[in-house]
Amino acid sequence: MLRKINNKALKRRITTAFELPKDIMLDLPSVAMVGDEELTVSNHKGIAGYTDGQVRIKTSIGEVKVLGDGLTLREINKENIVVEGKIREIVMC
Amino acid sequence: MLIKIWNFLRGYVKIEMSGFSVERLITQAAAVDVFFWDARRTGGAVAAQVSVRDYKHLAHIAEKTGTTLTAIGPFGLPAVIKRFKKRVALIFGGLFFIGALVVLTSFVWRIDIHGTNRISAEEMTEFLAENGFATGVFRHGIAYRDVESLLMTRFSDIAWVSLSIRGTWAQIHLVETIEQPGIVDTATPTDIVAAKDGIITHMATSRGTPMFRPGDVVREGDVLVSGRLEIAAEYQEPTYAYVRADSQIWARVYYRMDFEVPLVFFEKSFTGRSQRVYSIDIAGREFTLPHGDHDFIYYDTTQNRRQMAFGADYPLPVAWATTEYFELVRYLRSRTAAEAKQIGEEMVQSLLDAELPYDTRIDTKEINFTEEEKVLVVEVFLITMERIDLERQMMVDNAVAVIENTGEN
Repeated sequence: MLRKINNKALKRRITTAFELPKDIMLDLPSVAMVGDEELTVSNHKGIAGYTDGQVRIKTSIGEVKVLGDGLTLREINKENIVVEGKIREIVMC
Repeated sequence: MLIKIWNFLRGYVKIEMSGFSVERLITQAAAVDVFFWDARRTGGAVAAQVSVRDYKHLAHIAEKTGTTLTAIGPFGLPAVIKRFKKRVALIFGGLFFIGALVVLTSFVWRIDIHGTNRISAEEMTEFLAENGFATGVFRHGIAYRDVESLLMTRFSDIAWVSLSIRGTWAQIHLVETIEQPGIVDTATPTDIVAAKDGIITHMATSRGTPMFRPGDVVREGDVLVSGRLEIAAEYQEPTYAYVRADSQIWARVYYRMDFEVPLVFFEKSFTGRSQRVYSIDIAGREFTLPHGDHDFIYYDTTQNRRQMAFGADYPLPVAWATTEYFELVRYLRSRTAAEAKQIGEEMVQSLLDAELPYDTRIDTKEINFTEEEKVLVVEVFLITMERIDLERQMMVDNAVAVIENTGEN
C-alpha cells in the first residue's frame, strides 16, 4: 500500500514530473468557459453567494467570483457548478 | 437536452428556497450529491429544480440550516402517470388507439406495379388477387420470393420482378423482356381463308393448293388456298402432304352502310353552379357526408380521391373523395341540312380511317344524303381493293406426312 503523500511540494513535483492532472492530484478547481455565456467550475467546495449579477464559488484555493448579468445556475452537483448568463468578469480571490 | 429528458422521465420538483443562508443550503446539499438544475434568483429566493428523491434529502438539510423550502408540485412522467392513473377509460382509449394503429398497419393497403408496358397492370393485379395477394392482406409472413416466382411463371414477358413492402405499401417493380421477333411457324399446317366477301382480283400463292381463281366470287370463310398438297406419282394412289399455305390474295370488296345525323339535338352548357360532395371510403365502403347535396337535373362530375396515409410508407384503407357536380342546362338546337351533311361526311371519313386496313385502296366512294323529318340519312357505298387472305389452322385427323417445308418457293 502506498503511503499517503503529505508533503505538498513533493506532491506538486511528482504531479508535474508525471504530467498527471493537477485538478485531481492537487485538489485544484478547474474553470472552463464557453464564450462569455457559460462557465463550469469543477472540483468546487460550494456556493458562497448568489445573486443575479454575481456568483461566488468556493474552491480549495479561495473563491471564484463571477460577475455578469442575469446569471443562473444551470447545474449544481458535487462535481460541477455551471453558471449561465452574460459573464463579464471572473475574479480569483 | 438529454439530461432534460432524463429528468422528465425520472420526475422532478420545482422548489423555492428562501431565508438567510440559501447558499449554505445549496453547498451542503451539493456536498451530499444533491443535483440542482436551472437555479435562478427570484427576488429574495432562489428557484431551482431537483429530483423527487433529492428533494427528501434537501428538506432534511433545509431544516438544519433554517432555510424555508417551498415545493411547487411534482413534475415529469411519474407525476403525469399518477395523474392519469385513475382515468381508466382514457388509458384504455389510448391502448385501444395504439392497438388499432398496430392492427391497421399490419396489412397491405396499397399495391403499385411499376414497369409494365406490354403486360396489363390490371391483369396482374387480378391474378395476384386470385392467388391471395391483394390489398388487405396481412403483411407479415408474405413470402416475397413466392409471389415473385408466381408472377414470373404466369407472365412469360417478365425478365425480372421484385416485390417490396414498405409500411403498408407494396410495390412491384418489374422489367419486361425484349419483344421476340415474330417467328414464322412453318410446321403447323394452315389454310388460307377469305376474311371478307368479295371478288378475287389477284392471287400470289407461294405454298399450298389454290381453290379459286381471280374473278371468282368468294364468301367469308371460304378456303382460298388449301394447305393440303396432293403428291401423286403415275399409276399410284395419291398421298397428301400438309403444309402451311402461303398466299397474298387481293379482292374487290363491297361495303354498304347507313346512319343518321339528327337535325335537332341537345346542346349542353354549364350554368356555373357547382356543388362539392365529400365522402369517405373505408375499406371499399363509401360513406357520403350529409353536407352538400345537389338538386341538379343535368350535371357533369369530377372526382378527386386521396388515400389517407401515415407518413409516406403507411397508406391506410381510408380514402377521402371529393366529388364536384357541375350543373348543366340543355338547349334544344337545330342544324341545317348542309351542316348535317358536313358532319355526315366527317363521320364517314373517320369511320373509314378506323375500320379499313391501312393498305386498302378505295376505288369507288358514293355518299347519298336523304333529308327526312328531323334526321339526315347518310348512305355510304364503297368499293375497295384489299387483301382478304387469313390464315386458319387445318384440322388434320390423322396427321399424315406433315412436311416441314421451310424453303420459300
